[in-house]
Amino acid sequence: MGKTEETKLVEMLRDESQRRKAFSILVKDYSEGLYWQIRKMVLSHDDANDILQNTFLKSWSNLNQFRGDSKISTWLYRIAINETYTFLNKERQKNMIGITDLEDTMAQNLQGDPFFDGDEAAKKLQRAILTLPEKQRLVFNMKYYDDLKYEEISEIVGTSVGALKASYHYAVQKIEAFMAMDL
Amino acid sequence: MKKEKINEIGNRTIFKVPEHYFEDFAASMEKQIDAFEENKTQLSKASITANKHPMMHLRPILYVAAMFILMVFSIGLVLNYTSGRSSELKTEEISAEKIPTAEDYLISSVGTYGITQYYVENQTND
Repeated sequence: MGKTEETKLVEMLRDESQRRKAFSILVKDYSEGLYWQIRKMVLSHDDANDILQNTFLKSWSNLNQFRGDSKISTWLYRIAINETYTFLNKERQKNMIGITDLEDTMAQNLQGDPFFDGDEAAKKLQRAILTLPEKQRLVFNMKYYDDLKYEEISEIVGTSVGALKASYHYAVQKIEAFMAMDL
Repeated sequence: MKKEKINEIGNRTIFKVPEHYFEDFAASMEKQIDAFEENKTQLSKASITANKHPMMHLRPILYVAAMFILMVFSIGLVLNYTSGRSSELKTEEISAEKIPTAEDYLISSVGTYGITQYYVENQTND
């Protein structure tokens, strides 16, 4: 979405008579991008679908709080990331009674997932990514899979470009070390 | 498994979605927003109806009145307790029954044995 289009959309969202129509455009334009970002964090389609719905419901109910300081896409990505973190924390708390980590469970679930289309190497890469802390995992996904610019990632996650570069570098090192292990 | 560099694996999307997922998602989101708005309207209507009840306007006054009554009752209770205690003490102090008489004093200082001895000696002398 271009800058002019985004400005127009924001104006429509502020106008109560056009808000509903503008939000439909917002859902159509951003649901796919947001979905993939969430999916790469939670891996399961059903969980990603639930988080995406919550993201849009939250953004609809908090539309008045969008001041226009950042791009609407950045605002949506932030909500999606927060919803993802909230989901993962809840799952981790539920998983505390079990003997396996949430990340182990998530990796195991990939085995029988009908919506996972990766080979053994891709599965191992997913397991390696799951060993990273959540924020580092997010940065890695944004850079490795989506090839986003560090400036764009910085705007979304609120971390300096330098720190992001270092985080990505360490993430790659950790993942390569994991991939080198015979598991 | 052979050692692989992550660049060799590639970054293609390895996840799939059900067919027409994104089209269906947009339609389902429309319905959810409708339901959300309807729910919000019903809630605000219910809140307005609740606030329209005549007693709802009196609620703050009733709270203050209840607090005032409770405060007066508590103060009364405390005062009553302290004054009761002090009057009890005063009664104990001035009670005529408790003041020892000269007879009590003599009995306590001489003792029953001494009095008996005194009478026996008097009888013998007579």
